[in-house]
Amino acid sequence: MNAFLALIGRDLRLALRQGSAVGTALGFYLVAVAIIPLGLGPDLNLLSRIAPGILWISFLLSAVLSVDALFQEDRDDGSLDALVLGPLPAELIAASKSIAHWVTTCVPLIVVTPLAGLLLNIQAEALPKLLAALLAGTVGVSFVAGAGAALTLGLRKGALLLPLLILPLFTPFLIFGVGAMATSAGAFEQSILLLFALSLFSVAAMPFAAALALRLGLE
Amino acid sequence: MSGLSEPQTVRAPAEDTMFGPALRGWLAFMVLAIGWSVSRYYVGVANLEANGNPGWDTWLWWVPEIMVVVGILGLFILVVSLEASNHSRIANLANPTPFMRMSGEILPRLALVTALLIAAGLAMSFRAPPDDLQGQAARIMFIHVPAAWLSMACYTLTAISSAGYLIWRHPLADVSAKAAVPIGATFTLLALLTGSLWGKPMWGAYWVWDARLTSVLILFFLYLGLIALRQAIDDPGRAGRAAAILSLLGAVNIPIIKFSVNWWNTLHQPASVIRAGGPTIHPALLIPLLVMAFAFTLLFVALHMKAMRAEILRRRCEAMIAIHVRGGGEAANV
Repeated sequence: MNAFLALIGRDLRLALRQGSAVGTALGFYLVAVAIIPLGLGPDLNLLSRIAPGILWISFLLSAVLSVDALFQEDRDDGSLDALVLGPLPAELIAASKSIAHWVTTCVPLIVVTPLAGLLLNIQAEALPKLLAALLAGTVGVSFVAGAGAALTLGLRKGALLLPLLILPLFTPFLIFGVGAMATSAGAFEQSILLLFALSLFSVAAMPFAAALALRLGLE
Repeated sequence: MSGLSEPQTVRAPAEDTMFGPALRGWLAFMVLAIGWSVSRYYVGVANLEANGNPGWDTWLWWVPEIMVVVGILGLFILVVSLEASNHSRIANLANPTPFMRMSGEILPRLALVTALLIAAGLAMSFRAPPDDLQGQAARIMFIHVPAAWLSMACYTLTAISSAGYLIWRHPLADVSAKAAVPIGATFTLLALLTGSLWGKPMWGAYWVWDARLTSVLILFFLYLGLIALRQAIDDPGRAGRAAAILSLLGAVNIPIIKFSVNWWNTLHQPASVIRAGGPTIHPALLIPLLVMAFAFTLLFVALHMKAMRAEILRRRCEAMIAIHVRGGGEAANV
């Protein structure tokens, strides 16, 4: 348990002191959100109607594009080999990476989401629902993305391959995440519960797939 | 003639004899049979409109049924003869050499039975009465529905083979998973294309974001991901294991995706063949559909077997090249 916490702490410290990965993901998120009105036109009613969808899609893209750096740097300097040879099971290494990804990428993205929502003229009552849905769902997103990153570790064109492999698996998160904004009675509670279920399932299952992929990638 | 001056005959490898004269003749016959059935069908429709009677000769009407019976009997004889021969136990199939021998024996006969049943199924599909509401357009169902069933069956087979490969590291399981993916992707694409051709007259658009269409599209993306992942890794063993992990990841997620997409939107008609309370489809349409589904399943089995044989031969070639490169001139004997 101590080793597990130490590993998370190490990743958090690295992210805090380097800072570049977090900043890049944030910048990507804001640019992706800002570029969509340029394509759709400045109609504020339209934008406020589709704002939750745009925010979720931009969020998922930022999460996918930022996740491979997590394993990549450790692989390049050889510390991932040392970690896998060490006492900690590969499942827990993968889980710690996903948790670190959630804390260092998803949480900052959630924090700037109100600002991004402002750009899209999101309705004030929709914003708390969106933030709750993001908090509930993105843990699972980080774990699924972690498994994908472990699978494409060190591959040619890995950066392009990862979204192709992982985005189809994000469909349920996107559907329930945007579904939470629906105005019908009970839609919010239902969607949030389903998002929690998805996240719990991903936390429970994805580290095993990621560990298999990690052991394979380091052979 | 002395025979000494004769050029040495080069025998075609056994693989080539599979599509020998018999099968080529059969394929030509099948093309003629389909053409004949289609023309008979249109003559029948013209007669029906002119004098209220299709005017088909009675025994010709039953030709597809006779073909189905012959095909199923052929399949039965194939299975029984395999059971009778001594090297046919299923356990033997796990070894590449008996697999190659057995599949080499099975495949030509299976291809014949498949061709027979597809010909019969197509003839029956053209002969079936047009649907009350959808008219002639409903006929595309006879291709569309079997393709959609098989798109899911192929993924199931891929996932089972992948699990077998990850657990037992059995090379043949990997060969099976690798061979099934492109076939499954093709069936999925076929289901999507025929579905959108049907959707244009029925729904007024080639594509609608209906739950079932969307989940089949996502299934197609999962297939593409599997193909892309395999291509990105050079070492076949590692590529196989990575693809196996991904296909299991997809298999776990498919029910969740399906549920979420259903929750999102539903426009596609609900399942009408396999449901509690019996099929809601008229027997005149159901029987051709079942024949086509059976024929497509056999087609998948035959294609999969052929693709597995090709993959095994490819790996043997690569192994021989590797030996040749490493061993220099001596390895020429291998």
